[in-house]
Amino acid sequence: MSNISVSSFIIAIPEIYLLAVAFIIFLFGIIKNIKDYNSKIVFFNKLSHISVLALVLSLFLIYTIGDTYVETMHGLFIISPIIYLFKFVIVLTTIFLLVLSRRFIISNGICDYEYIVLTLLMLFGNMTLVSSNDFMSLYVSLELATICIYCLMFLTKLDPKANEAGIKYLILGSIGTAFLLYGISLLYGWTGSTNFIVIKNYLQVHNSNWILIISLIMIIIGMGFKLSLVPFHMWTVDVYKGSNLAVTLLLSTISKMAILFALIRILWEPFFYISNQWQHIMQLLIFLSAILGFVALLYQSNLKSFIAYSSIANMSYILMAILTPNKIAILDILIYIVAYSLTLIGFVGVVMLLKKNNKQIESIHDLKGLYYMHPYLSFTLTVFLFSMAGLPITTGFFGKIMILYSAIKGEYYYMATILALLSVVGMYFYLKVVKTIYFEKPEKLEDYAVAQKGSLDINITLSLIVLFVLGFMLFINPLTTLLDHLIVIF
Amino acid sequence: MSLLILILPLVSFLITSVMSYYVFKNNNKVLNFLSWLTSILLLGVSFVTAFFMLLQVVKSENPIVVHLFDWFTSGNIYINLSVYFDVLTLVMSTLVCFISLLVHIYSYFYMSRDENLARFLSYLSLFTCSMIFLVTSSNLMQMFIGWEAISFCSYLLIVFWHNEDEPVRASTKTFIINRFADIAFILAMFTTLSLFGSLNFVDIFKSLPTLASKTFSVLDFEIPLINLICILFTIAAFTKSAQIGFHIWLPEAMEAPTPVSALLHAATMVTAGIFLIVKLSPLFEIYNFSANIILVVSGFTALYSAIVACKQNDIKKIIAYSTISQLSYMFLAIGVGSYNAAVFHLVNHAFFKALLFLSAGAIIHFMSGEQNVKKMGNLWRKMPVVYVCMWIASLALIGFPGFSGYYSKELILDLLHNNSDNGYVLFAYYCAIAGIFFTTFYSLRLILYVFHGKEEEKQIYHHNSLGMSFILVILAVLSVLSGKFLFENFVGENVISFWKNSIFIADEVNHNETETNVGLYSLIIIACSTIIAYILYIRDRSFVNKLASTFPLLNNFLFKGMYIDWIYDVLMVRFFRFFSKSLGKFDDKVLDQYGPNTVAGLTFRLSKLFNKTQNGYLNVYAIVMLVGFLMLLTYCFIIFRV
Repeated sequence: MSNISVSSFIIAIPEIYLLAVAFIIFLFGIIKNIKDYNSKIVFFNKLSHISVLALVLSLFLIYTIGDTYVETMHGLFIISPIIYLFKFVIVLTTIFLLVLSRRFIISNGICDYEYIVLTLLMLFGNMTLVSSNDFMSLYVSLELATICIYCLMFLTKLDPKANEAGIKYLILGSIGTAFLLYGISLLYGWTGSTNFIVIKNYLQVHNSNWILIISLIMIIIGMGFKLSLVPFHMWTVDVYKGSNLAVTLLLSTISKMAILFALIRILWEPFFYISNQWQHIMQLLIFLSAILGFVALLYQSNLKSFIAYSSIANMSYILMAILTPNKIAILDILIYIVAYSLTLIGFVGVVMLLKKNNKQIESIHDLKGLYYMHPYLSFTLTVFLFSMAGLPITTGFFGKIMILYSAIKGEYYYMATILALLSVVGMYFYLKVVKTIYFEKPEKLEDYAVAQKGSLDINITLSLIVLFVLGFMLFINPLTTLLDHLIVIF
Repeated sequence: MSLLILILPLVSFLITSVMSYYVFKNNNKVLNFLSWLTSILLLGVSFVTAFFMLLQVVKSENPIVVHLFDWFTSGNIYINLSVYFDVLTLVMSTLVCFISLLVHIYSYFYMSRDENLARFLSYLSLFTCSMIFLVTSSNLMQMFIGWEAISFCSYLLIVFWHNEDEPVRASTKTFIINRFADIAFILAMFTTLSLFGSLNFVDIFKSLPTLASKTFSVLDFEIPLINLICILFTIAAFTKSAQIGFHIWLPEAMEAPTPVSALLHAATMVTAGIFLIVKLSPLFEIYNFSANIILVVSGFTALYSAIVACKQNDIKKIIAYSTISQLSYMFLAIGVGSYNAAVFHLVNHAFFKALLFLSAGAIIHFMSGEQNVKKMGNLWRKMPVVYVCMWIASLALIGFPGFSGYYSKELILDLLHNNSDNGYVLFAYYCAIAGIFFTTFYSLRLILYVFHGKEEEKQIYHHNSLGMSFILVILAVLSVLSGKFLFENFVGENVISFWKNSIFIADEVNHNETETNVGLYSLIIIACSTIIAYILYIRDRSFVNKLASTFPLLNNFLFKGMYIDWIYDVLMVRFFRFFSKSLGKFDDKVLDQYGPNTVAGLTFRLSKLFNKTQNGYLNVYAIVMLVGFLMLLTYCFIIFRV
């Protein structure tokens, strides 16, 4: 075994840098130890800005070392352009999320510096998760990210609902993790290794058997639990409903993204040679998730359960592209997940600004008549909803059509048809929200939702997302060619 | 530099539309004036650029092509946006810019007190921009955008006074009728694509000789694909250029403010159809199938609209029908394969038709909105400049020797006469000759009604506007001179060196040295018509009324435009209304009830059921996970049976 050289640390610079930023902010928080509420807000604001700037810098770091292909730390981690792309996307999403949720966090009285520290640590966990090349490192990274989320949930200490949600997530999460660990240990028992490449090579020459399939099922369950695939989705609605909006958003975007990328890597690297088996399992899960996600969406009026079901439904869409392991599918997945995450963040970011009777709005019905009070915000919301529904010229449309296209190319005709039809069902909900915004009016004047005044960074972020959603179609060709160049090696 | 022609009207549109918002808010006179000033400055620069580019392109050999960007690729279809300047497009652009500039200037005097002036100007600028976009396009797809844009802009302009009923109705009609053009255009575009594999004009013309003979069979008939394309494009052009059957939108378009009519009839919109065919002239030259259709339809239209115009009372409608008739003359030129003659007549027509409309606008302005010619009279003392201009325009329209219309119209008649060896051309020739009689008649009738005769009592007159008169004089000068000046280049000796490759120029119609008596005939016809008009409208007007009351049916027949609107109403509107109503009932009562409603109900029930599973108990959730695991295990067992 060779020694770990300095160069392997150079490759890990983005992660190390992120960890350093998290710890520095942590130290700051401990040293300052502010008790006064008002100065706490000022401090939180500062920290939030600093962390966003730091993350922007880390984007540059990722960009500068983005074209290497190295296995490092004795094969525990792997770095390739596509993985850097994943990381880039995750960090970018986190930046948007941090900016948009800042105002919300302050107004909901959870403006502890821990929020930022935990978010950064979770981001660190997600980044190592994406580049892990070994089940051990994968497991550790996954747990690092998940534990941060538990802590984030418990940040609102006095809210019984949040506590309930946290406990539920903890217990069910440990069941899910147990499945994952058991699957890994079975796999280790059969193949003698936890390294992706070694397992891949082993499976190339050996036939599959029951142990392997059980371990495959268990690993898929472990990851599918986190991705809330049906029937392992039961926690989603309760947990999303209980935790505060910022954490819900974090769970349904950044965390999902990273775990999705990890799942792609698991299925496409070590299990590449038993793709027939996992394709069948995944197909079943996709069907169930799509049906439940899109159909259950119809009845939602609560904002958070809408996010929950919508993320279930959209995840099923994305997973359709997983079934065909090639680099074009990666492109489709990337475009879809970025489009979905950003529109969701934008949507929730706008909703976070809205208040009704001095309370955060929680239900879709609270959006009634928003158009008459805030035409521009309504327009923004409409753009996001259209993108989520997948109407043409928005990014969501291109995401959906590319995924469907890749499913059809992989000859999954039935699935593509059914999911396309189901997305029509889902469209009902999204368009109903648009109708609520434009055509319904609350009875009393005080029932109108009122927006807080957005600050400069929030406005810039929102308009960036709107530009991305509407302007994507102009750059679709150059963007895909650029990504094509990046994804030479997977 | 060359892009300025296209961009400046767009800039003008953007600036004036922003200004119009503020003008409308607080009725700001200064801002109104400023928006006018910016728009005419921008259009003026655009016109000057177009003009100098025209001079440059005429001297150089190659057309100027500016590639903007690649739009999209789909399969083997590659569409780019690029601006293509050859002599033809620049002639059109210059004309459009020029007429549009004059109309912009004129509009200020016409509606200076209207707080909507800025909005009006912004629409006009957009109209101009889209027309220039259309003529400078390098492929059919791009042209289609311009094609759509002009019909959209014309819709906006016709519905400009949207608080009244008539404009709304008229604009809707215009918009719907123009869908015919779109359908035909789109189908033609697809056929072109399937035949040539490209929509680029240059590519199409390059591969034309090899692919021209390709056919498709319908009921054992082998029809060349080119013919299909040409027919479809002809229908599109007929609709835009208002030939009979598709013309019903044009008289309705008169609801727009008068300056719009001038722009719409002279340079934009209706000329788009002519331009389309002229641009695609190599395609039309291969078989004379579509040419024959054009000859028959346009020949009939020329006569029809001239006759109908004789019975109209609305001053703008008379001129509108005259436009239809003049467009037919252009089509006739196309029909005999002389595309340059068509463009020549188009340019001449643009000047005198703009003059006619703007004069009519001046009259209407003077009469405070009165449009009925029978209610006017003896105006020639009150507005001498308009009187003279109207005479010049009418003489040019009639084709009186010395005026611009003479050069182009006589040329077209000559061409028809020289080629009249087949029946189609002969028919067109007689129609065209007869059309001259009625053209003279309605022109004189208009003038005699408006400027002579008795004065109506209790009329409130506006003042004459100096600015308007100025514009009219410019156009009057051009109406006299354009024919003589452009003759050499457009159709005379320099034809080939002027047009280069931008238009198909046939050899046999290049120089027509054979002496014909067509000029003499038409002079005799004009004279006859003048005498009749003089007798009817100067000597004794009561005879006209007596005639109308003796033949009420004929009178109505002509007044209603030969009931073509009525035919449409019965055939299309009522039939379709009945058809769609009964279909709607079927849809509502049967299909919806058992189809979507049932499915939607089931989906909702399912959704409710899914929501019930979410009961909040942790143990249930855990068990569901376990069941899921077992389910996957059984599934794998069934499928793989390892």
